[in-house]
Amino acid sequence: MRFKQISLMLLIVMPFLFQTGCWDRWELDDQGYVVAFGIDSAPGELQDRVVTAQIVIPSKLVGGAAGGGGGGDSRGFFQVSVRTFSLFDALDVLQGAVARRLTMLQCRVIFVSEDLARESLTPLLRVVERSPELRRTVFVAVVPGKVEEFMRKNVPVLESDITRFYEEMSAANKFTGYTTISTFRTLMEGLETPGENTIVTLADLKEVSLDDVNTNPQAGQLPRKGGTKGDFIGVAVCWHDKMVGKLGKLEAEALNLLRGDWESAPFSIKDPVEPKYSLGVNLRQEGKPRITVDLEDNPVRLDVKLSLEAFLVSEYGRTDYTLAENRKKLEGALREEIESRARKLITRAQSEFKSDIFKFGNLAVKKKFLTWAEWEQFNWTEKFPQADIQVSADVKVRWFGSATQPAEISP
Amino acid sequence: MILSNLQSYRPKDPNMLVKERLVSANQVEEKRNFIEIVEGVLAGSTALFIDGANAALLVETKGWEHRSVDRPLVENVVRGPQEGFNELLLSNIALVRSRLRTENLVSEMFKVGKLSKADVAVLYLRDVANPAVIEEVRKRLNALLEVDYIPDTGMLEQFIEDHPTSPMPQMLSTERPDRVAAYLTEGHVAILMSSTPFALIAPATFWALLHAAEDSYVRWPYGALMRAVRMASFLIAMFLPALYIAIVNYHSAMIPPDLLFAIAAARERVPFPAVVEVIIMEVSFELIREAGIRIPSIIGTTIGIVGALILGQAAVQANLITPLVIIISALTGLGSFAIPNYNLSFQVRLLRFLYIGFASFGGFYAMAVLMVIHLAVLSGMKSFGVPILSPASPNRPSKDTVYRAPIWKQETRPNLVRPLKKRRQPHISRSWDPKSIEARVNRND
Repeated sequence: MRFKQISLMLLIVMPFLFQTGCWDRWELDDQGYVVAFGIDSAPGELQDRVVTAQIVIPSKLVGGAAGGGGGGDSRGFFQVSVRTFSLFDALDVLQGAVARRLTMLQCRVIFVSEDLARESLTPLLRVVERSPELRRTVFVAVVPGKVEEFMRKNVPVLESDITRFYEEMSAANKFTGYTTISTFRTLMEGLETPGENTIVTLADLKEVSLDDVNTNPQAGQLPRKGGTKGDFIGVAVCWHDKMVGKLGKLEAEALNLLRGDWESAPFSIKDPVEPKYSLGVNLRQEGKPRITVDLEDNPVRLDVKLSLEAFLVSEYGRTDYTLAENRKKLEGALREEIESRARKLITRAQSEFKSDIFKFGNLAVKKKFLTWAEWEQFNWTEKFPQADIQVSADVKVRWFGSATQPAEISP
Repeated sequence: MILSNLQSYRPKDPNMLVKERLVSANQVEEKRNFIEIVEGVLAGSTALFIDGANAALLVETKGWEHRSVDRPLVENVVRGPQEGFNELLLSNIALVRSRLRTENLVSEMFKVGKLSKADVAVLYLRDVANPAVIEEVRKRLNALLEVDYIPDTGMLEQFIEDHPTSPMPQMLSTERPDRVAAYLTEGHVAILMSSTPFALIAPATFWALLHAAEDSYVRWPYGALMRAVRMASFLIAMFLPALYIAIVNYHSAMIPPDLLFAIAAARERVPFPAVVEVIIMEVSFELIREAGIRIPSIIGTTIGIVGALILGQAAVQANLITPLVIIISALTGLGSFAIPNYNLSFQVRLLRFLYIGFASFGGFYAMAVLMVIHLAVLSGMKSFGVPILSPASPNRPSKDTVYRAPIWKQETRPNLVRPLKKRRQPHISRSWDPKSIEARVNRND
């Protein structure tokens, strides 16, 4: 009886233990951690790629200041590029050059070159879909130039750890509002959901002299000197799985407002009273945009209402905006600016990209249908470019920074 | 006054007169041989020679030396009574009785052991304790007559507990009379024994093993906090090293990158796999602990030096151990020290190694499998008829498990042993407090 019980117990327990086992076990110091991948197109007829990987050197990271000095390697990572067919081939081939078992468990970002993105994003997504190692939260960015060069030159200045650098860089849009946080998850959402299209962060590096002017810069176009070489500004617009265009800072801001992705970020306009000056507010979106849809109309009519709160934070002119009538002017100017930017962007999306990057279809039009079949039959993708989309913004100036009125300069 | 009695009773032998009427000791012998008298005096008796008598009286006046009532050595509290049991059974019973001055407190005497014939007292409250439990204790104690030698409740426990092969303790041993009294009022049975300061309380549940006397003596938020800390320390002591192994070996994606690279960098210089590292540290910690108990107290301070210097610092400098593993084993050690019951902390120490083994073999998955088996075994165990995990499983609402409700809200006794009386304080104990009454009325109960 006793023996029977014990052997039964073992019979139950043993299969559990053979499900997984020591062969899945990897010591931390036997693995090489790839934190960033870059994918470039390769010259020639073959459909191959140049895959670049950045691999962390943990001992250099922990050594910290003691390891100091310039150059990529002493920053706690090294970069390898290889010419191969896919991300997985690359990992396999790189294994020949890196002694430790390479893993993508800690991969934070994948950069795709613009020409590949314009071809199609699907091959990349297929890899991520299947791989158990890559997370769905991996950040994706499109680089207009050479990805390999971008990764090599764009070394962190503030952070000692490159992983940290990528993590914080990709989260920056929470308080900038002029790009987007595109991960595999958002990409898949945009691709798989009928009635919306996907957008991807733009990243690039180029030296732009401070003598140049650019009010609507994209990544790599900002007149800037010093700091890290690359920047993340603007958005790449996709139609299905293909990239079809790029939006600069001003358009990306309007895009985030229309998508409801805008949280709270600075926003500047021309001073309505003294137009030569600039005026800065901190703009906050109160909830998602309210969209009313009229299917009866031909073409389909959409009314998009944005509710926004503004905090005046900087003014160069001499107008006292704390006064009621000036505040009205300020609110009017903000409304006009936002509405005109939004209108321009919508026109561009309808005529140039033909791509509903605002998620209007998924968020509003879809709700007009009771069954999925009806919604699919309606074919929003075809109807979007003709739709009549009106935007109105409701802006309230609520606060004037830390001062109740501007400083009075004594005569 | 005594002499006045002599009038009526006059035996011929003056010795008989003295022996039966005057000496108040209960053991008096007549001795006619001087050698016997000398031996008797050397053994502690008193010899009484009477003029005109032909024999001496050897009066039993032996007095055993014993420890006086002292502070408890194991179960210390900051707030609360500071006296513990000693080795004298009668004074131990008196300590309990001084706290429960009721005629319903019964102490039944038993003798266990053929050679030791140790006195065992079973204490319970006649009007509260469940008769079935009392009968069960009687039955188990009566079975021990044929055993040679049972000197301590630690051995007694092993003879009468339900599952003698399980690492889980099933009786609560305590040296605090206030704790014994508290459990008696809840309907439990206490077993006290001569020559040992540790009383046994039956039945005991897992939760009772995590309680300390002080929990009830401090105000309830503090008591609740102490209990929560203790529960956390139990979990840390049981699972932390195994969790570390599982995460580092199987689930490295869970670690934030900064920490991951720091561990990886430290591990680069260490020649062993992570599990060997952890086992080295755990074994050394067990060594320190065992040595600390066995070491003569004069050279006891060396333990600290050896432990702190050799294991803490030198092992890291020699690249044998990563600093994180030192932190983990230190936390684990602290956790197991915070477990108030000595037996329970033994159980934790044993099972921890089992969990480490399973974690190194199959990560979280194997740990989860072991945990399911562990819980299944525990929920099947009983202590004197009471499920050991109750009132959590089987689930009965209780105000005194990990969370301790305010004392004035604990109106009924815990239902574990089905006490004869359910209510232990009136519906509204704080009857002078209008808020308290109002709250009760609003709850409609």
